[in-house]
Amino acid sequence: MNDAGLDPDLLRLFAEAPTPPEGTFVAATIAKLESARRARLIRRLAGTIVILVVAAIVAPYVAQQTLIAMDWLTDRLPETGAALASPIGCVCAAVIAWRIARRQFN
Amino acid sequence: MTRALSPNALRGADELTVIAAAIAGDDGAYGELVRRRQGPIRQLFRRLCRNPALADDLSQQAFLQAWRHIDTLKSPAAFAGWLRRLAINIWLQRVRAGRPVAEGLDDLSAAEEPTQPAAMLNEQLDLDSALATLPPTVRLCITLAYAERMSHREICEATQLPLGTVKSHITRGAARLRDLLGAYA
Repeated sequence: MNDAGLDPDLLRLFAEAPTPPEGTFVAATIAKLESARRARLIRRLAGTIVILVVAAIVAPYVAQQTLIAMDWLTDRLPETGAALASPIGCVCAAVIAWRIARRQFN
Repeated sequence: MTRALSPNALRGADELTVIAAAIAGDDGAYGELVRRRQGPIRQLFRRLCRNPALADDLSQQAFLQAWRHIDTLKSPAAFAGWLRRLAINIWLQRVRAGRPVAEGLDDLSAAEEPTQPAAMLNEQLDLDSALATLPPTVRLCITLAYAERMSHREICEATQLPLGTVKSHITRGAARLRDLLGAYA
């Protein structure tokens, strides 16, 4: 705190100012918070629904393209393809995907 | 997952506990914080804009913004200063957008509660009228220094104004107030 140079009479005047009465302010603010909370919930639900719908539309295409890519890989790189398609390859891919997702949402 | 505190527990709880609960997502705790902190924030805005209705609107904006971002607050002890900085930013944004920030004396005198002695009320009205004649940034610096008792450096950090400008605003603003309130001493 640095009070150096502050006028004591002005300080007294500011200190004497009455605090505004609570009145309806708190109730009105809490009502606004409630509506903001509802709006946020609706936005989140809408976002989740959009993501689910887009995922449902895109998923077959992604699966198809993945199969094509895997076919291409196993044809050209038999060993790498087999490794990717093996249970261990699937687990490694799942771990990498999980770490990316965690970083994204944290 | 944090268990929400009951309204009675919140009323009796110390400030840091209430803030920690609000940070953890307890909306009841945030409501209690609004109840405890509304006085200083509304007072700050009333000093800055002299219009009680506008001051309450701006205070609500500050509390809403704080509610939206309270999960980013690292330490409960920093809440009061953080909330005040949000309020200052809201007011500065309004000033920079060129929107009205101060009203005439009529609005204030009509809205003030006549529960104080007449002399003190007149003194406060004089102070408010004198403050309203100052340019917005000077009024802000004077209010933060005299009403909020912030140091020059704290004001400089909160307003993003250069330290020299803050010092000169406070010195010149106080001199102007002393001139206008010549009879108060």
